[in-house]
Amino acid sequence: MHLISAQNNDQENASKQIAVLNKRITELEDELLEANSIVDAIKEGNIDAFILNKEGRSDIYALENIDYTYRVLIEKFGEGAISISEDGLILYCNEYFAQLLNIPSSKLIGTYFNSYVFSVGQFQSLLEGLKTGFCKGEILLSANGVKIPVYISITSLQPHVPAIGIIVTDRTEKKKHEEEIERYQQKLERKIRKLNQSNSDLEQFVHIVSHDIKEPLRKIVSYGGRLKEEISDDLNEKSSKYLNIIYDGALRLNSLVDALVIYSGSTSRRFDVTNIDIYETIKEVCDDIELIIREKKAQISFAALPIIKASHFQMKQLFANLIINALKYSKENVNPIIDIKAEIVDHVDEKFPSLNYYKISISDNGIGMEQQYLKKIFTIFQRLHLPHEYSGTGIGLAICKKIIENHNGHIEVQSSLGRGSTFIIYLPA
Amino acid sequence: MVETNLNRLHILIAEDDEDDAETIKQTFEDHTCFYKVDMVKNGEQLVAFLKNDKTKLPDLILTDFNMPLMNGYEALQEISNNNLFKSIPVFIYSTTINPLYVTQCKAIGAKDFLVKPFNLNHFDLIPEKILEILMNTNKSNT
Repeated sequence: MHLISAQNNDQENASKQIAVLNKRITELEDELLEANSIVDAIKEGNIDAFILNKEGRSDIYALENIDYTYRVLIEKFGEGAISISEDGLILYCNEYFAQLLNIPSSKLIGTYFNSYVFSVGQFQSLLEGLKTGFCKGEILLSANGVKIPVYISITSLQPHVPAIGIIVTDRTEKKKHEEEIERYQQKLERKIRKLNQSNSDLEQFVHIVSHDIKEPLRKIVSYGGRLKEEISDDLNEKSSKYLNIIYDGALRLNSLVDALVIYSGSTSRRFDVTNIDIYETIKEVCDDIELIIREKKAQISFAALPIIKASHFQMKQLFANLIINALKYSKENVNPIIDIKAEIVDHVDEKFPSLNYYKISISDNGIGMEQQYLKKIFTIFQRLHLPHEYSGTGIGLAICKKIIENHNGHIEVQSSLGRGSTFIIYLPA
Repeated sequence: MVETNLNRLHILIAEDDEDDAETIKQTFEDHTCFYKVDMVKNGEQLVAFLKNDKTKLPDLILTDFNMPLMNGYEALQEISNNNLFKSIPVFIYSTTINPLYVTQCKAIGAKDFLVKPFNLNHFDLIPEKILEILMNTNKSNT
């Protein structure tokens, strides 16, 4: 009995254990099912996040940290993004692209991209470029009758996805700016053409006018000269003086017209530029005016002068004018001393900021000028002295200024009355 | 150029200005090397003169630049384009010298471009200058 009872007890215990084990199996089966379904869901891409209960706490495992970021990026960044199938159907487009075309993305997806392309040829040739990998270029889109210039980047998404990705950049604003710049440029070019035309017209005008003025002037001078030769012995003192005044006036007018022609010639920007040794140029000038230099017992010193790209004719004219000017306005009974020096400087000129300049200074010990007149002396026909004090047409320095301007340079003068003058010219190095 | 006898020259001068015409005519008539001086008043008359009697062509031509109807340059063009006339040396003279005109005229065969003098006595230099150039041309041809 005791045995039986013990046997009964054993059986009872065993069936209890089996029940516990069966329950455990069911629990494990449930857990396995849950785990498997999570794995399947992950495999199918249906899960953005899952929550696990651990020791009474919920932990979120979110996939959004990885994939979702990219999706938001594509959706939100400030460029159009689309993907199209190989036969051109729009598979996906972001909101930016939809707004660019002003068509909801739901209506865009599933239609042919080509139906929004205006410059189909351009797009096709860009697609052709895909064979070599990656291609970018400008095309014109068209939606609801509005043309949209865009810049596109095409990338094949093969072999991962059988599709083509296109990034679309709106160029409407940029295009507008470009067109505006081009319009301005054309306007500027028209103005330049007009200006060149009127410049050469003006040059011709000066020549024609100077000719027409010189014709009668030549008659006055030539026949006036003949008259003086033939009748001056018969004239009384007064009449002879009048005749001389008429004759001298005509001569002076003639030299003014000549100077005007030279001035208009020096305004011309058409000249041959070669390498000019300033030292040699000044030597040539001194040879040409040797007589005046000797007569005035002048000392002209110049050394270590640069070689620049310039018109030989104009440079010679420039230094001749400046040296003759210094000799002309020398002090009475003082031998003129002219010193010509050069150095290289950073001359800050807003028009040519990056250039280095040669600073060439021509100093004299002449009569100098009062401060208030310094600005006037480069103006045509501006004279500080009466004609009988110093001869001249008032054009020499104006010509110098023109020549310097022709060579993208700058001329200025420092002077004080009785202390000589220094002309400073800046020429691009 | 056919060698010319520089001591017995026939010159044709085109000058529209009556005063200058008188002076230049006198100048050449007074010169021993010129036996015949013909005057016309513009380029048209100059060309017409040449075409009128081709057996009596001048040895040389001196023409003013600025003239009505046909100026010196246009006349020079006509002359240099005509096989009968193009061997005649043509000199151009003017009050002012526009470098552009000088280049243009020399490019189509002008012998030289002379300036009208301001001193009446200097008109005598014109035939001398012309003779000098012709003499050099003769030399370089032989």
